[in-house]
Amino acid sequence: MCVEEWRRLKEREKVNEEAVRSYAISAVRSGLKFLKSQYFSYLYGKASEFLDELDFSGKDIPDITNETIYYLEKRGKCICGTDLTKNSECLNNLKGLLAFLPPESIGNQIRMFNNDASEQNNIMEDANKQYEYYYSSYSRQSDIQEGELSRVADLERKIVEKSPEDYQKNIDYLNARIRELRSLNQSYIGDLKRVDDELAKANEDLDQASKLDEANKPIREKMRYVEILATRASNLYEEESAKNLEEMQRTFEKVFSDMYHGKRKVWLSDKYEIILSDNRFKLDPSKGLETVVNFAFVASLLKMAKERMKKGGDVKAEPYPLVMDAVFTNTDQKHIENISRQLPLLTEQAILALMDKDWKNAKPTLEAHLGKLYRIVKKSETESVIEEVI
Amino acid sequence: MVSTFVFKGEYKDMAHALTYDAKMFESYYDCMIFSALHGLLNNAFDDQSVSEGEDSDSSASANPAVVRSEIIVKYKREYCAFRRLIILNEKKRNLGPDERIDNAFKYDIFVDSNSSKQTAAISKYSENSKIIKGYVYGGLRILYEKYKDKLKNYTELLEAVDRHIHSFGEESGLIMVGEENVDDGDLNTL
Repeated sequence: MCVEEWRRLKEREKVNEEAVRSYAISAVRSGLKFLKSQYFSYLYGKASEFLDELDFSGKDIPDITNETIYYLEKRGKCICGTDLTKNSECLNNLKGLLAFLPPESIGNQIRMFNNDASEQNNIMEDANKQYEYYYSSYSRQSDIQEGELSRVADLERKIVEKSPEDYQKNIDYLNARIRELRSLNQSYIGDLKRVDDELAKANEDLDQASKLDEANKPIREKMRYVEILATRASNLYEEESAKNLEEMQRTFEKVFSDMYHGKRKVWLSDKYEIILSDNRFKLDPSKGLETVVNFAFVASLLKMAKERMKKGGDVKAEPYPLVMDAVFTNTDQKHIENISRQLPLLTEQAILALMDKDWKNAKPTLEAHLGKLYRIVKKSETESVIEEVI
Repeated sequence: MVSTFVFKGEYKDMAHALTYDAKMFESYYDCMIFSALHGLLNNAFDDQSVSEGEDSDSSASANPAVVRSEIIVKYKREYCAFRRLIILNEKKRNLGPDERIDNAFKYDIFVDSNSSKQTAAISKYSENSKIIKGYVYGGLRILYEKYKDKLKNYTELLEAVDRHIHSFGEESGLIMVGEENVDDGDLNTL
């Protein structure tokens, strides 16, 4: 937790620094503006003191304005009758009076100056307010920065000073918290079950309510019909599956016993797994026995299919040939003879690929049922040819 | 008659340090006005014909410290008042009362550069400008001396400005400062 807080505060350091700097600059500038306005006020005061002591009575010409001079110049004739168009000296004297006449008269300008002096107090007050605003903003931001820097220092001390016992305490705390949360989780699971039960109960109530409602009657009957159909289909499937399994188990044992000449027993589990045993222990088949077992399984399927077709039941299909490659590999002579005897009984047609040595053992039994015989002659690793023998 | 004001030589460096490095002023115009008032109040006058000297670096023309005439025109009202206050209060030229009055209100007339008024030509505007420039430079020098050690530390700078404000307010009687008594002020002569 310390580290988290420390990291967060460290990330804020630059932002704080920039904010303090920015407020400080604004405070300095507004402070100097305030000081400037003080300088102005002070100098206005001093100038006013000086001006108040003076007499301006001779500086202005009463009741004449600059418009009078401009009028006389335009008219070309002075009040005294002098022709101003011919006497430039007189005209210049008149123009020289402009400096002493309103609006540029000294008296008028001093009045304006005094007005400005009065206004300066307002300017100073505004400047003071602005300075106070920036200065207090700077102080507030500095306090924040200082507080956070102090907190960072504290946290760093705590992080460094933390002993192994402190960390162990933290681990213990976290373990306790885990236990607490697990317990809470169990409680939520209990709540969930309770809510599920309530939901089931609510559904039941809903069913009851809908039964009482006549409008739901046709739908309820249809749903009931579908439910009965589904139950019947499911029952039929299970019954047929059980019958098939039983028949397959019986056929498989029979076919296997006809093919096999040893002492081992075989049966099928409920999941159609082939299990071999010596009446006491479950055994793994040898390669040769595995061939016999697989053959017996396939032959059993064929036999059952053949019988079903004969009965004319639900199974309707054309007889297909049984195609097998290297069917007698790893099988001894006796088993080859047994399997060969069973093959014509179980299938309509069989296509077998055999090695010469196996054909030699199978030939006495199968020759009478032989339709066609071909030989595959190997010419090279990449080329073989098929030759018709019979 | 309004012309551009150029800080030259060492004053250019000082104005740049205060205005751009330390950001004490928003512009050279503010720096100029404040320095002149500060110079007047502290009787700090530098004769620019002696003190301007040469610019301290060759890039002076590329980075001039200038208050352009259009800026002065923009702040015309304040600038006129500023000039009159300097002219009325300065004692450098030992002018008599009538001369000071005429100088401030009759001759130092603000005329922009496009005007053809004859009064501008006959005014003592340029003479007054020289006096003002002397106070700008004198004020800038003592201002720079006062703050130069604090320019890189904004906290110290603000504290110094705050002391300056309070001490002037107290000495001038313009504001009540409270219990603080800081000896850091102006008003040496007026």
